[in-house]
Amino acid sequence: MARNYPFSAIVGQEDMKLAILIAALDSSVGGVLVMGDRGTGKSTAVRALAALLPEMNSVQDCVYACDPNAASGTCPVCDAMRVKLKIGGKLKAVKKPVPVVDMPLGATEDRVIGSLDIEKALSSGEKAYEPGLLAKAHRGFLYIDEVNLLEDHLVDLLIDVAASGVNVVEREGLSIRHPAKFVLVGSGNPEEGELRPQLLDRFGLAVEVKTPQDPKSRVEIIKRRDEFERNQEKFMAIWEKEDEVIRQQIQAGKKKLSSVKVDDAMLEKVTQLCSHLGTDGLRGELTLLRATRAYAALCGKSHVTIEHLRKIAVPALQHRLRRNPLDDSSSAVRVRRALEELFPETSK
Amino acid sequence: METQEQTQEISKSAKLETWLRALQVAQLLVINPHGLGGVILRARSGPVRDRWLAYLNTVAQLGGMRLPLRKMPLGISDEDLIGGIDLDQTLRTGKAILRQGLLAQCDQQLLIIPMAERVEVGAAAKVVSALDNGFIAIERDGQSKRIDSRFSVVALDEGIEDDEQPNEKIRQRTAFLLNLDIIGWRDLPETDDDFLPDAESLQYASEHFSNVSISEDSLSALVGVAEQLGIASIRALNLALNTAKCLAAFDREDEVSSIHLQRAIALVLSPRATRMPQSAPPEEEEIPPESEQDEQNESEQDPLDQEPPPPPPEIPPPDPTKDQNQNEDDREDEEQESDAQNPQALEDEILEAAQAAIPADLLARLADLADLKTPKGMGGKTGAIKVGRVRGRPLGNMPGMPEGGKTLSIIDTLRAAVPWQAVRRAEIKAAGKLIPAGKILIRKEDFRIKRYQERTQTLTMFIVDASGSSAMHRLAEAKGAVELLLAECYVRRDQVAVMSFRGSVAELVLAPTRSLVKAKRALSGLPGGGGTPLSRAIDESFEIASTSMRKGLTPALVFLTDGRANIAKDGSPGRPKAMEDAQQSARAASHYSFKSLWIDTSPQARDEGKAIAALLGSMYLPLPNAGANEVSQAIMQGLKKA
Repeated sequence: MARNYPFSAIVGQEDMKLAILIAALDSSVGGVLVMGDRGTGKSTAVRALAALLPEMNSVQDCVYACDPNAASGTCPVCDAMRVKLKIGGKLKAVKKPVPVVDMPLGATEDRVIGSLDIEKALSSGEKAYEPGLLAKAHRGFLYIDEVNLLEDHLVDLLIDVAASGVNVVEREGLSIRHPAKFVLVGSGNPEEGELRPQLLDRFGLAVEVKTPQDPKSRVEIIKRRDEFERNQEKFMAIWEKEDEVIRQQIQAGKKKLSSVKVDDAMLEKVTQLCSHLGTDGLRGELTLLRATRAYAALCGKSHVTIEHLRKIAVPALQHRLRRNPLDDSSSAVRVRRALEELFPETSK
Repeated sequence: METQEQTQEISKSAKLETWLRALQVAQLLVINPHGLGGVILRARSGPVRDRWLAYLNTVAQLGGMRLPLRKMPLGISDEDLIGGIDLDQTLRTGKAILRQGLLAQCDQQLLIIPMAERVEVGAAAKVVSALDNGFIAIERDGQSKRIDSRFSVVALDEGIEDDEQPNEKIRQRTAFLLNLDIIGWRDLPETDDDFLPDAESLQYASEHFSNVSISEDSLSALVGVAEQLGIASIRALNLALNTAKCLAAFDREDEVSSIHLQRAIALVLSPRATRMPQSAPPEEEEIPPESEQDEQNESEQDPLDQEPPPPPPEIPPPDPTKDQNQNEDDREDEEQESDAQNPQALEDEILEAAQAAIPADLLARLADLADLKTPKGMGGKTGAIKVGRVRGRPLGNMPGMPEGGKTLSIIDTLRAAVPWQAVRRAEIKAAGKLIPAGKILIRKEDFRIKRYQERTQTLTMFIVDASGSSAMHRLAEAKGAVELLLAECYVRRDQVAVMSFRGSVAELVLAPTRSLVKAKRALSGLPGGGGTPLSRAIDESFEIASTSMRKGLTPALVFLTDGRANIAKDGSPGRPKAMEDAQQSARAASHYSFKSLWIDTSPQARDEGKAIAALLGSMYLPLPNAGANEVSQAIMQGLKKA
């Protein structure tokens, strides 16, 4: 099996890497959309993410890998097990890797939401539910490459499940509800079609990637690629240490997250920025808040500062701006300009 | 320099060079199918192409590849391409049996894609994802599987026009772009047998290319040359590197030498050049395209030192073949020298070779490009570099009820129902009901509807200036022209829309439609007079055009106006503000990069209109005294060119 290129070995693309780390640290930020030039390592970075995630506690024997501390009533499998437990008994927990599920192009609806096990239906006439990709991605990541080429009916379905965190399947008189809370990660090339605003809005952060132009990084990129292809074992061993540092950082950040403070003045600034930019709805504010908090946690800080806000505002807001016919600059530039106007950098 | 003669045609030897290069590409693809991605072969169906394919077949056989090479038919269904459940086998055995798709069957092989310029984007994306991953991920029909398949594509591009090109995604991932259209049957050598590699070398190369190393200096040179040629993609660099490694392995060397790198760059990077190595635009207008590859086989001149850049006829052909003639040896000597020099010298030398290998037709286009000041402009041949905005969908089916004009797909519905018959019969039995004999039990969830074929229809949208200033001049002619065009559009089953602007509003008088009658009615009632709210017209028309694009149409906009705005965006009168707003709107709208045509209807061509058209990236056509017929002719011509 070919292994994934290590995350730490990706040259440059700091914005993209940061957005992915933030999404990994706090799933409530709501996923990442990476749009940009061809061949800039979009897919590579997302697939490398799997190796960085600390393992999670999950219920043994539950196909959905539920959190043992999850409330009852969310997962049919866990509930069934709970019934068998003695009072005060606990579900058996094991460590499982956080899933990063690839949704390939051409996936059919039944495989995405799950359907009846066709083999069992044929051989014994039995109706057994076979979980789909959404079930597999529960508590993890669902990665859609070429997200702008995704067929509309699948997009609708994803939006629905991503919003509710619950997947409902009705088939052959069988009705199944199971938890499907996942972080949506999408990538694509904007030249091949735009994303519907509804789907755009589902992504917490959006980053734009460009092909690096400076010759040094270009040499470095093809050099590392070549080394990776020639001797994967050796290459992985070299970068494992770096990956481990990032892994520790995520883990420490996750622990820190709940204790990161956002004071009222900062909240005020978040609101101010969003209303200045005229982002629709509360989602922008909420995401911005959560993402800055996660970023502070990632940096090991216990307070959100204006610097965090400055760094995160662009990825958190740029895909939520309306087109302004009077202003032809890109959304990122508009966000940056708003930041400067509202919170001018104090000369140090 | 021996010959300065500018032959109208490509010299015979240059054609031979191209042919030999094509043969070498075939060898390389057999050596490392997965690492090189493939080739885009621009050639019309005919003996030359057939002969190349025959050669490819022979080399594939020598290299130990499975034969025959598989072909991907146009309009292939997802099921055939990626795979799905084998219903027949599944029903017979009672076990879920997966049927492999075409892509999975091509492991360690080459996939031939005929009419590659017409492959729709969905299918292309699936081929490309397999190329990238080296496996096919199947999540279909209850099956979840990953099948390794490492192949490369041979995309047969039969496009004639510049804008008919295989999907950009595929172009990005195939190492080689070849044009065989310049070669005639008579230009070919008697036989290609002399150029057949021996099986042992091929196999040695395919086993050893991955161990070939490359020095840091060579990598820097590679990156430097790519920059000089204006190639941004990192993928192209990787492909050139892989090619160099294969070439070295074929010569049984374990490090990429500068000659290998040179040849790899000539094969991979030169055809992708977006500019001539010098920043100054080349000035060889008088030279017809396809004339540069001339007889000189070695050129000692350094193009970097020459000003102006050398005209194409002086550019020597590359040395693409494995059969190196004595020139090659000369070169090799230089190589050795230059290797001892600094990396810059290495880069310069490789650059020279790379420049020499830029194909004739591309060279002509680069010259055109350099002429074009505005990258988004639609005059000239910009179509050549425009990325296809064609959005299509693979044909297929999806679950759903046949309502609202959707068509039921009977076969797919039956297929969907078949596996569940046993379950349903058991259910009916359990309920104590009678099972109807010989009937298939179909439930609501089985219904499959056909996904409509999203042909890329054009929406031609007319934005007609009905203000006083324009109405006076030419409104009547404009109307006539629009009607003539409508008739033409109607023939092609394209859609039309008409927006009129006057007073302080821009109004969609005819929503996108295919009905000629409707259109005529809307136009005949078109009133004239009032101010010219140009800015609003631009904003709103592009808004509608972008909506239509999301619906799968390809919009083209035709403005009929004198360009003299006098109503600002906020509805207030005043020319300076209005013009400023109009320019602002035009700048914003240019981001859409839609095709557009600006017909200046004022008695004398005016700078105002021209300036806005330039901002929009529109083709500008002043038509002061033409009647309806001329206007419609101009539009037809203009849009075709655009």
